[in-house]
Amino acid sequence: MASEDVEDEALWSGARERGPEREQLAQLALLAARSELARRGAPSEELEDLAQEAVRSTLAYIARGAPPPRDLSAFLKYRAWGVLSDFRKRQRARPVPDSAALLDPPSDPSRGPRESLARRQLLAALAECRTRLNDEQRSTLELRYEAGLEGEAIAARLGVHRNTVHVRVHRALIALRECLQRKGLVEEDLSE
Amino acid sequence: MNSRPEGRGESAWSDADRALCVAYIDGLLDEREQLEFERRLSAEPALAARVRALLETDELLRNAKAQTVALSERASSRRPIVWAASLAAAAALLVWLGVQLVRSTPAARFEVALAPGFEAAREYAAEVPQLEGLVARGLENLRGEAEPANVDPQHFVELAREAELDAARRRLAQAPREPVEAGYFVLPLNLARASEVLVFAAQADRPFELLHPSGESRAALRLPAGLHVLPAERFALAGEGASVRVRYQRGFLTPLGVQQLQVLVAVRAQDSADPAPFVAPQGLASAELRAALERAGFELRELSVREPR
Repeated sequence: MASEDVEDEALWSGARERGPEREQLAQLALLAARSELARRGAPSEELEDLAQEAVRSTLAYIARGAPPPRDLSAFLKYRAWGVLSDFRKRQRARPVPDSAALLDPPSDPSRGPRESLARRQLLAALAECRTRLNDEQRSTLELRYEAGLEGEAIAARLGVHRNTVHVRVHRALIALRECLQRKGLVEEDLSE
Repeated sequence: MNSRPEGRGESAWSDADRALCVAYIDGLLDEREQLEFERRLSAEPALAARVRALLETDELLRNAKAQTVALSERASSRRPIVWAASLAAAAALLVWLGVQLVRSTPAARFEVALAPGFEAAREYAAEVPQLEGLVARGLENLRGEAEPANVDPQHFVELAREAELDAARRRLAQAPREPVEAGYFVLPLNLARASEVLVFAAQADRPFELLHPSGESRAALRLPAGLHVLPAERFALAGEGASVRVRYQRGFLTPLGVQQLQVLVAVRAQDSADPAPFVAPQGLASAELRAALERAGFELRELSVREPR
């Protein structure tokens, strides 16, 4: 086992109680959450609250006696994913957002005309890839994205179990991803 | 740590895991289930890569839908009665913009640290467990001619980037103000907001000189929110097509004979109303430079690098 892993385990175990290890782990979790949330496009005005939520839930998890993860840095990064998924679920439950903001998002210095063009190409390719899905996958995605229904509601509409809906969504999203990869529009998936 | 891609054919995925991945990205798991799933993600790179692919494709579809809705709303808003409402909204927006313009620029909120650099790629790569045993085109000559390339340059750069950002997070968490002793150094920098960034350096009793960005313009670097490594992440891609290879970037040089170098990092939240970045002043004594930067809304941090003995 690498010395870094041993240090991470000691940090995790030490963080079960108040003290410097807990402070250090909280700081590490905060930094990991901030950078991952920013990278995944969390709204800047929500970023700090979401990062704090990631820290709070991590410390609560440790306090409950959870064993250390195999890779602490990766775990802290994925905690940000979970917090962001919860946040986006809450957002979906809200009224439709301001359409002007969607069409004309705040200027981002990293985005210029080339990026905008690339994005339009990507969306056009996405529409074309959707036509290649089988009927079950296409109808499931229409209910999910066009009708804005969640898994339970789609399951009720189609008369299937919720897990069946999730499996169809999974297969459809991966098929779309692979279609976009074949067109050279998204990167090949590598292990994290 | 396994740093190689773990290919997992589609048939190897169970329906239970497929459903679980979607429940996770939809935020349907309770906190305990989420955390247990994230523990699995940290131990199963193939599962993590799958969830990332699902998240990104889901986001793409949701954005595509949102833009379609917005376009249709914009088309229907051409009716006169809605025009009147739009004008009222525009007037309100102008008032709001006016208020925003007279408000002071928000605090930058950033963390910065120093991390030692290395002259050669081989020295640096030896310090990174995730790169152990990997040889990419452009790096093989540094690891001995006998070692053929065994990884795609792009994959190597991605792994190196992940490893470097992990190391940067640790550095920021553990030793943000600790001086380093190194011939080269980099600055891990975490920005809470999109910001303008300037880095100055000074030898003892000399005025600060602009270190980064380099170039004639002296205009501040505009960076998005998130984690960065200045002047650049250590490995990047160079060349095109079949000749693409990895390129090593050493970091900032600690000048010979300097003994100690003071590094001044200046950051201010980017004001989207200002189309041009701030231009670093020249020829000021250190105290005057600090005062000028603070007047312009920059927050300052000072760090120290020692020349190796």
